[in-house]
Amino acid sequence: MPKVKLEIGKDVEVMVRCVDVHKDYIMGKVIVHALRGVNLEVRKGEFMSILGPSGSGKSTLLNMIGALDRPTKGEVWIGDIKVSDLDDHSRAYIRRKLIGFIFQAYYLVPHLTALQNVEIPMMLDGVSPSERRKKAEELLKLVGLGHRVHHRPNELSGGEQQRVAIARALANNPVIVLADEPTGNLDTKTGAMIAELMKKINRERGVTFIIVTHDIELAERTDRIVRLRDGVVVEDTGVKL
Amino acid sequence: MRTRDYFWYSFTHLKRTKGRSSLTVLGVALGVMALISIAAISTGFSAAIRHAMETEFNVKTIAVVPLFSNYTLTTDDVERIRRSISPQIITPVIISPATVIKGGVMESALLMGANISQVKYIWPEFYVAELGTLPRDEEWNNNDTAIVGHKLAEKLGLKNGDIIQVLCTSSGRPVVKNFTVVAVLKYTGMNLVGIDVDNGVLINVKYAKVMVNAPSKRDQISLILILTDSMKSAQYAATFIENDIYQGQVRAIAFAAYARAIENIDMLFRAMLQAFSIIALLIAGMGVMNTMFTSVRERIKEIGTIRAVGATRGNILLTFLAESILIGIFGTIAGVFLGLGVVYAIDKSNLLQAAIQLGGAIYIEAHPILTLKDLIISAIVGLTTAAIFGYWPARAASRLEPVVALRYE
Repeated sequence: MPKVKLEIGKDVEVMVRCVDVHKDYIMGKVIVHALRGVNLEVRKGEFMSILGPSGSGKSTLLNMIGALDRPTKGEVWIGDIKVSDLDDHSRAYIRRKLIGFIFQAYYLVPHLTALQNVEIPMMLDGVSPSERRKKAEELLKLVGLGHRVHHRPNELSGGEQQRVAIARALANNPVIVLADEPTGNLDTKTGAMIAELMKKINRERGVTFIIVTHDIELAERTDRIVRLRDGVVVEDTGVKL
Repeated sequence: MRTRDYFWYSFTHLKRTKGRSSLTVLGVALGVMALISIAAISTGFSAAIRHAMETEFNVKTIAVVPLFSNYTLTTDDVERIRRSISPQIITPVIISPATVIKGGVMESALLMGANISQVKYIWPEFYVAELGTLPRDEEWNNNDTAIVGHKLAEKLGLKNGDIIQVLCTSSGRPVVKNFTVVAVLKYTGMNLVGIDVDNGVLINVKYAKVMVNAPSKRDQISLILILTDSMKSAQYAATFIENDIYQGQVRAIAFAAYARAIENIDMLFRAMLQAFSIIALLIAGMGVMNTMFTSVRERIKEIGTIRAVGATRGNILLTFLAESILIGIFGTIAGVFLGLGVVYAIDKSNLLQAAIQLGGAIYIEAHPILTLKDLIISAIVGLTTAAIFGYWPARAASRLEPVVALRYE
């Protein structure tokens, strides 16, 4: 357990706050400005998307929010925790305790079964084998894979793999789920099913969802769309009522 | 993350890469096998050499000889040393070149005057009768009793009961005396401090004194043989006699020095074998490192994913380290069984035989000796090697930035 306090306050309303976030990459002799002063607030329980073309900086922004990377300038807050200032160990703790990730290519561990994949975040958190197994089974049932728990990723379809990834993202009861092009590798029908599943979880569990996509259809399924272009927010629809 | 989870996670990966992992495990197993069998062989050899030294060279023995020709040892010196160091046995010996004549045939030989019972006690292995029987003390007191060495007997065709003439010079005058051969000694291959037993004719020291020494120097002797109670005492007593009693006028040869020479050979032999086993282990270690680096390269995305879902650098380091330790454990277990098999096979095949020539020849037939300590050390070394060589790949894995790892194609 890190020394700094990393628990989120109970009365927190703004779950994510980005203040003038810049991110520069040095590519050889050229500096690429991936983010050029992003300001963004996401409230608790929102189901929102960040929409933008390839290279707009949306995945970079997601990495900042997800404590996977640090901004070159600016602040990133998760609740009342300023994650942009945290050291590597504390950021790992934040990712484990507060954030769930869903990736376009699922990124399941190939030598583990669906059940074992869902157990990983709990295993990292030191949860006992029996307890985490029970929880993983529940989550796989929640995503409709109760009958596929002992299958390895290569025995599952793309949609099924993404559902396992969703179950894994929920394993440690995160306050935010960050999804990076979650339907990018799926056909339209399966993509729609995954989007509905995420929405259902958001509604039932109150988990904040931030979905990064270039797919307008997926974005339109969310309650709020933030458009990003060339590293800046160009449009924010606000929460649709 | 719990300790057992690191091993569980790594084990599931090892199971998936059975082929490659098995080869790495085999590498470690061969390294451990080499360690165990080499330890057993060198321990066996050392024990055999030590046994040979104690029984054949008698490392508890000292021979005192004058260092300069103007100093002569006498029977008084025997008493002087006896009083100073209280050895188990101390006995004077006279040696002189002589000619032995039998049936008109003459052969050069070494006349040796000694107290047979005492010399027999000091060097029991050398005084074994091939023909006849070794004389008892009262028989030895007869002034015509002689024992001859194997080679001399062979040259002159001697057997027990034969009468020989021994010719030597005393102060330039020839002296001839008849002796009856009571025994012929077995071949010893021994020539220490000028005592060439195989070409010798051995008579009672008091008659040798009369034959060899001038009437005015009847008490003169050639050397004094001393038996102490241990190899350490022999070395200590030799130094004491040389430096404290005689202030460098005599040379006290501790046969332990020969033992030390052989021990040095033994140490060299052990060092060489240990070098071989270290090389075997290094190769095994490199195998582990190679496998683990390959594993890290293949699993960069997985590392990124695990980091994204909350693994710390420490978690990644320990996960990969656990995998090398598992390889080490499986390799060590297999290596212990292989090692035991090799030791058993060597023991049954009598492969370990050698002869060491140092003055005389020591024939060694060794059997591998595997001690529990060597077995445990080999296992620990095998396991540690796998862990050490697995550390760098594990460290490289832990240093991957999650974003970079996730982007890796």
